[in-house]
Amino acid sequence: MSEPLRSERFAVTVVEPRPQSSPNPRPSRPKAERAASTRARAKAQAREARQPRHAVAKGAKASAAAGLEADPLEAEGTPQSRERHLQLVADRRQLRLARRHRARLLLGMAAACAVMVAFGLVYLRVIAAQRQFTLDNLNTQVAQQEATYQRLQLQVAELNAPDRIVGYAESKLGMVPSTSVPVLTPSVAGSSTSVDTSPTQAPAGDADYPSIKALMAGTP
Amino acid sequence: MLVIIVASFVAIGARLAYIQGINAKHYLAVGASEWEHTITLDATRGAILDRNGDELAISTPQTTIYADPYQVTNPDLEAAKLAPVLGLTVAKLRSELTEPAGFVYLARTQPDAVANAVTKLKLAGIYNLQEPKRFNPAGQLALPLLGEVGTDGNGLSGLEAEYNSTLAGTPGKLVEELDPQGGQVAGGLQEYQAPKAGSDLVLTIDSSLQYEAEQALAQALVASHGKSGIAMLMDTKTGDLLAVADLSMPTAANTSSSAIPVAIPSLGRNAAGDWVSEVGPQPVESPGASAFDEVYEPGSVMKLITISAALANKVIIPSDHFLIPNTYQVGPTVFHDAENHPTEDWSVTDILANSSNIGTMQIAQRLGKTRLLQYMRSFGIGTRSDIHFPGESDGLLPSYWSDTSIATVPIGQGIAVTAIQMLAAYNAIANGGIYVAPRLVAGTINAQGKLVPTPAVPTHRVVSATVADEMRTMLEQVVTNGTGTSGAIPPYSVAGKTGTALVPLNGGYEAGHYVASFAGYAPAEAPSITAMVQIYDTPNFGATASAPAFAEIGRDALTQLQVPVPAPQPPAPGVPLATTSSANPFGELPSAALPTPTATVTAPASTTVSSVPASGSSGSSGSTVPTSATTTPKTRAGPATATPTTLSPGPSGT
Repeated sequence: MSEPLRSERFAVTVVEPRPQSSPNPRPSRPKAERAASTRARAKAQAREARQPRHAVAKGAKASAAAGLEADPLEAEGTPQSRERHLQLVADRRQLRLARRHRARLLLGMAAACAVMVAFGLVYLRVIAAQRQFTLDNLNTQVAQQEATYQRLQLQVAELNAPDRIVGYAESKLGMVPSTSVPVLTPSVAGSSTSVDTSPTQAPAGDADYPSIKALMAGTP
Repeated sequence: MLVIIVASFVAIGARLAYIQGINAKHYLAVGASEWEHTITLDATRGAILDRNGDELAISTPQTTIYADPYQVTNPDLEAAKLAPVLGLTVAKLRSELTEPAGFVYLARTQPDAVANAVTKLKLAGIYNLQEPKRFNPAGQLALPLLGEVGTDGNGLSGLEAEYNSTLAGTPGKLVEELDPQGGQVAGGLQEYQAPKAGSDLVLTIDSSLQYEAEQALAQALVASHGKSGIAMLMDTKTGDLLAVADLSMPTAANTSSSAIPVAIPSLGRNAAGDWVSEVGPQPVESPGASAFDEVYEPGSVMKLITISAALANKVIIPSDHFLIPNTYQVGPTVFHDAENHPTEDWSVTDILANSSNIGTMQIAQRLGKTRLLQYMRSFGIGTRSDIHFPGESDGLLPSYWSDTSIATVPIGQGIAVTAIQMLAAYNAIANGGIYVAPRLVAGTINAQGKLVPTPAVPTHRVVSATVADEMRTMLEQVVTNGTGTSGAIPPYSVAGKTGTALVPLNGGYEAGHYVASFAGYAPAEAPSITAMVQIYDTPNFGATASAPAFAEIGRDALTQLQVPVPAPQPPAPGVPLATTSSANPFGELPSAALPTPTATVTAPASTTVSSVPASGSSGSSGSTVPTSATTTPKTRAGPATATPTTLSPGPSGT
């Protein structure tokens, strides 16, 4: 004989099936009586489906207490009965607690997110401030380098001043201004082109000087 | 009670809505004015460069020391510490440090050494900021052209003033949020508008040639005992001014604290063996650009225009001969040449070579007043140049034509011109008869570094190429056989003309005070340069005072520009060479004795009466134009017995 199934959570008791070898088997019910029982059972199931689990449990209990016969087929442990799903009915108070627990969880997560976002914003501001200081520092360096460049540019210009160069050449190097500049105009004999009128003097020490000198021979 | 509470809340709400909603903009603006700080970012002033890119004027940041008197804790102590560093008196500093103001300048644009010394003192309420300061790296070179810049960075004179908007650039702006301590709010409002740097000005001036011109002019000024001088050098083809030198001998009127004498090479060495500058008064840069804004009577250099006009109108041909007496009466006045001579039979070439006033007058009488004035205007006389230099004068043409004007104007007396006008006139002949507008500014370099050239000014033909060629031959004769031999630049051929005009003084003209000038171009066959030298108020004539300086400036320019010696060119067809030369090697002698007049020779009292500004009027300081109301004819009594001028031996040995 099977043990009655009892759930700790749900007040549902399954009637143990009638043993097979019972000397006094139950007499078979009349057919009409079975049909009526079936209809009643179907209604009960439909009603239970609409009700919460705890109500279903109560309903089963109540129907059991009302003396409604359990479905003989169920009592007998038929495959149909085993396929029927059990409806678990929860306690209302426990559900409320669960809902409250979930809300707190969500609230905590939201608060945590908000704090994280706030910290993130503060962090970004700090980074921006740090970058701003860096940028200001760089701008200052750029301005300083520009000023340095301009000062050096002035220095170069002063060094290039004609009076400074002439003064240095005369006072330190003993150079004097040239009073006359001889202008030589070498011409190429037999050339059909016009006379080379380059006014430059033949540079002393130049590798081409011998050939130039030959060309200039006799030229006043 | 409840009603009162509710009413209070309603009132508060309404006020809140008013402040935050309706009048939000007003309060926002008030708040912005408290925390927003706008800083004007000065734009870097553009530099002035010569044609080779060398800086003639440049701005560099310098440190300005300022104080916040409200933060100064001990004015006496701080003034005592700052005084030796800044070079100011303690009393002056103390008065500034105790001013009821939040900002007061102590010293502007100081060198880095001074700024560092002040910083090291670490005085409360003493701060510094960077301000640009204008420098002229080449010293006083071309300073009359460049002009000056004020403390606030604005041009005050010369090109700095004329092109101030181009050089100044566009200032920028920085708007930032400041905390109550004055520090920038990190991450706060920051609007930055970058300043736009000023454009650089590129001149046509060559700083080397400018220096040489100033040195040559300085030597001529000292040697000829002149009061001031102008030397100009121009590129014949383009009209670019390569050098414009304006020098004056120092006087109480024209010597400022910033005037620095132009160094003149000495004749010897000092004990240390260094070459030393000449001792004694040395010329300084003129306070203004006399080449543009001062007028003078040009004298014989004007004869170029008279004879060119006569040739162009075919009233004469070069081979025409004129009988030139020693004196010549025009209207009530008897005129004479610079030297006594018997009646000569001279060609036009001879007239020009000998700078005969009488010959020129005869030619001018054939030409007539109308055509003479027409050609003078065509040569640019009476109109300011296209340079439009600040204060540039138009010159003066006679508005009243007297009986003697046909005699005086053609020889350059009784009119007033600027040096740039006369230079451009000679350049027109050098260019084959085409007037090329003088140019001083080649262009600008914008903030992006792009050169924007100055738009070219259209040229116009003044005389035909034939006339220009004829004038070339005659002007060459002036230099080879005439009064301008001192202006020769061997082996180049030079075409030029001397000029000696009387300086009006004390209401009249006096011998011994001349405006001596020489204008010409070289090489004559293929001109590359046109130059002019003018010495004002010298006892010497143009041949001795100005021609040698012209030769030196021309030689330096032809050498530096590597101008080849062209093949000799024959004289222009139909132009005779000079057959006579009454000039000695020194050209016109200062001892040219004025003839014993049979009639009183007076300065024409009726010329330029209404067209001449009174001396001392604006723009004509130092003007040599005679006054009108106070003209007093001077009587020359007998021949002058002036002593020949002894030339000071210059370094060139001429």
